[in-house]
Amino acid sequence: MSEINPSYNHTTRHDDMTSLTKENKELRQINQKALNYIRRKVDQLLSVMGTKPLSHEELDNETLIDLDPIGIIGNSFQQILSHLHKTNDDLRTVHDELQAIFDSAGVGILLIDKNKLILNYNKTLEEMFSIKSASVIGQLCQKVFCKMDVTPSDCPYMKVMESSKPSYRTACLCANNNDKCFTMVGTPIFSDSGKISQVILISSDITERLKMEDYLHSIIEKYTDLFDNANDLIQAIAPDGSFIYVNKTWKETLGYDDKDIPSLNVWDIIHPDCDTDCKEIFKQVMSGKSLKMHETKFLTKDGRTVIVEGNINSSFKDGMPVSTRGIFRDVTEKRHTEKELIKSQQLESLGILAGGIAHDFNNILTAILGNINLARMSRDIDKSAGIRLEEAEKACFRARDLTQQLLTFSKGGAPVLRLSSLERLIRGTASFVLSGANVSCEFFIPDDLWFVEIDEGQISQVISNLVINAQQSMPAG
Amino acid sequence: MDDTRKTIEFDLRGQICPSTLLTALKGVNSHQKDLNDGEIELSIKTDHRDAVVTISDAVRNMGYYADVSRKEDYYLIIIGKHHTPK
Repeated sequence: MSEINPSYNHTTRHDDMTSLTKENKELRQINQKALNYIRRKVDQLLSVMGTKPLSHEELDNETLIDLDPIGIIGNSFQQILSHLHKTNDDLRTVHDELQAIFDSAGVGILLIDKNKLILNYNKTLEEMFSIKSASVIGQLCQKVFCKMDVTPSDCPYMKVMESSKPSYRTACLCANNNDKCFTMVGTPIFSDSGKISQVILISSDITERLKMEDYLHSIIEKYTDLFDNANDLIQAIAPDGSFIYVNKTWKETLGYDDKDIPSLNVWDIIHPDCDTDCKEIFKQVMSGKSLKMHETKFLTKDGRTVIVEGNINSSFKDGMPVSTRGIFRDVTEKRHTEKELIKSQQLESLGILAGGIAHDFNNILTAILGNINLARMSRDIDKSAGIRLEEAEKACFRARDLTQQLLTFSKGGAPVLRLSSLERLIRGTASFVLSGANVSCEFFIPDDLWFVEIDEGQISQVISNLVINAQQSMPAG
Repeated sequence: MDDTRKTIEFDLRGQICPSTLLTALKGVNSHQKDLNDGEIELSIKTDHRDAVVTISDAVRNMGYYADVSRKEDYYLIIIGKHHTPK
């Protein structure tokens, strides 16, 4: 223990107490001021954090200091800052990536504001529209790209502004380069207030594509023309039997038009006689077999039969059959002609046979005619027998004409023309046919009737048939 | 959310803002490393509606996720960090 200083008297002690009390009061005031400052700053920080200020009732001074809200919020801010730094780094990376994409994109990208002022554009756009100016940033879009004072009515920008939706424009000709053609898509960018603040216009150069489309179109036209003007029936059939393609000749031959084809199946045009056979062939072709010069029958829309002959094979994709190709020729007429030819050959054989018979018969007739002539020349013969022999001689002449017809037929039907009197032929033939009949024939033949070049045998046969018909149609004929 | 993460619960029911926010932030700060490593999640129960907004806004700004769901008589806020492979 320290000793009490004798000089430290009551008065001095009182003064010290007064001084200490004052100092204590001042310290309390400073402490309160500091606490008030801390509370204000805590409230300020809490306000930044979006919450209510502290109240004395909730936290007394001692608890406030123990809780250390400034430390808590400070630590949180440290994390917020750290997170912001990381976010900024991420944004920078994304920005760099986007800039690289923006610069290397194969399409032209133009960013304009709501007043059509150019904000940014990429290199591809610069090349597409041959922008020579060092910078067109801040200039009016339409003046730079369309060389116009007024915005064109079909401009995607206008459509985006009207509809607030992405808008598409095709076949936009470049004012800077008339050989080029573009498609353009406009997309709005909205501000926080929901209004359009900027518009992105993306342009693609479709000049080459259009040229290629034209070229492909011309190729298609060329082949369509070739296929449609082919004399053959060309068809492509899917594995389910539906038609993928048929050419003009196919449609014309079978009587179908374009609107019939989608609902038509191959089995609708196969003749019932060939149905089983064709089903087997279809299966074989689908498994990769090719058929050459196969003959079958098709049915037309109106039920006629068309005989066709052609080649069939199939096309495959990834090992699976996708279609059968058939190129057929309409051989209906050819087959008909072939049939007629066979018939004609048969007739020719018959003609040769008939010719042989006629020749032999002629020989017999010559003998008969010779004997009749000899008999008529005999003096012993009476008048009545003479008349009968004359009639027999005439009959022999008719028989000779008949054999002549057979000989003509055997030589291929060519008539044996001779200048003849029609009157003599008509009178002679009719009288012969009606000899012994109960009907008579009246002739009305002009005196000045001309001679004609005819095959007497054939015309005589015609007249003979006409007179026989007339006789048989008489009441007692 | 990763099911293998440990969950540390804070039951702040009965408290109001700003006390709720400060307590939640204190919890986040004290488990900052484990949260960032994706080792743990904090599960905060509060019945003070305003705290749901302030807590989730604050932790999201700090880079954490805050999944809020409403239970029968309180709100449950799950705080954690999406684990990014290094």
